[in-house]
Amino acid sequence: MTDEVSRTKEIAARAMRFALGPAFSPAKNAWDTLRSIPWKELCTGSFSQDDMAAMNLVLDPRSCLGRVALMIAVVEKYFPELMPQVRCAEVTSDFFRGLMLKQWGTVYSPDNLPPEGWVEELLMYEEPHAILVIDGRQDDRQFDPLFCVYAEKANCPVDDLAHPAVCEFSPWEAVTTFRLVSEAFWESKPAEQLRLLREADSICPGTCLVMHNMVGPLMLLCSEGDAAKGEEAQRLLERICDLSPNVRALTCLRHFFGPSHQARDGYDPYLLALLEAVTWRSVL
Amino acid sequence: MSEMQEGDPERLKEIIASLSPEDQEVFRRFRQTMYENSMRGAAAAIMARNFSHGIGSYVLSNVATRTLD
Repeated sequence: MTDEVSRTKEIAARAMRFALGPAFSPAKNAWDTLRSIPWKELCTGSFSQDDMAAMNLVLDPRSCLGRVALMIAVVEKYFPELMPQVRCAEVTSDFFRGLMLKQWGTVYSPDNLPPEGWVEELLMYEEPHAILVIDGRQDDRQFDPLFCVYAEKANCPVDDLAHPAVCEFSPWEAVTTFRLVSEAFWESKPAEQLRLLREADSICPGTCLVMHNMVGPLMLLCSEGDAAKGEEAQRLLERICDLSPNVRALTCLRHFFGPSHQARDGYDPYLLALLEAVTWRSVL
Repeated sequence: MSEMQEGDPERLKEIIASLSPEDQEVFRRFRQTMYENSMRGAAAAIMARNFSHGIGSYVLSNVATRTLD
């Protein structure tokens, strides 16, 4: 185990003690124990990227990285026999995004545009997201704390909810990689940021989060004259769109690498244009 | 030449028009490069994400009225 993974586990253990308090006791099985965590309190609030990156460094459970680290730490402490079956998973097709897209064409259309908050919420569901998966041999079982909040509101069984597609990784290695991405976030020099991200990727290769974050420094290095970095950015954006289509990556592909990159997965051109406008405006 | 006031696009146009065609082309390329670089900076910002995933008010409020079923 690398030093970074050991450090991640120490940070997660500390965050777990702080989040659950001394009175916490496990239920009879892992699922009931995970459900007993007060997720509603931990799944509130909206935060800037700066705040979120700072919270990720200490695995604060108000971020989804902190929540998945908390779940892994709980299973490891109270149900260690399950650890060989535990995975940290990145969501590549988001359940909530699917719900929102159903509204486009039914409730909303080019003649009846959705409110800005609706558009921003759809974009949020396209952001990288991590959950816990336990391999059930027959079928994997996902645990996403957001489902607990949603199930209570929707009055439906939480077990009925699942993200349509996820990519699974070794748990602590994935959490370590994700934490290091937030460390790289604070680096201002693109070359150094890229070096940190490649280091993070070496611990748990192939995560969407690393790919997303590598695009920025690659594009900036390309603008300084390194054309090969631009080509690498394009390959990453195409890979991201294949794995998990999202407006941010499509926007970059279409703007920088030509109009041949068409909308996919539920977007008609009008909705895509609307989402792209909000995406750009959020930073310009 | 009068001093250019900040945010005076008309004066900027006059200055550009007074340049030779070669210098105008240099200026055009410079402006395009600046624009592309600023867009690359913007692209870097929109792709730098930190797992800021939550559950939003539209999903939560609409599920109560079953409009998302």
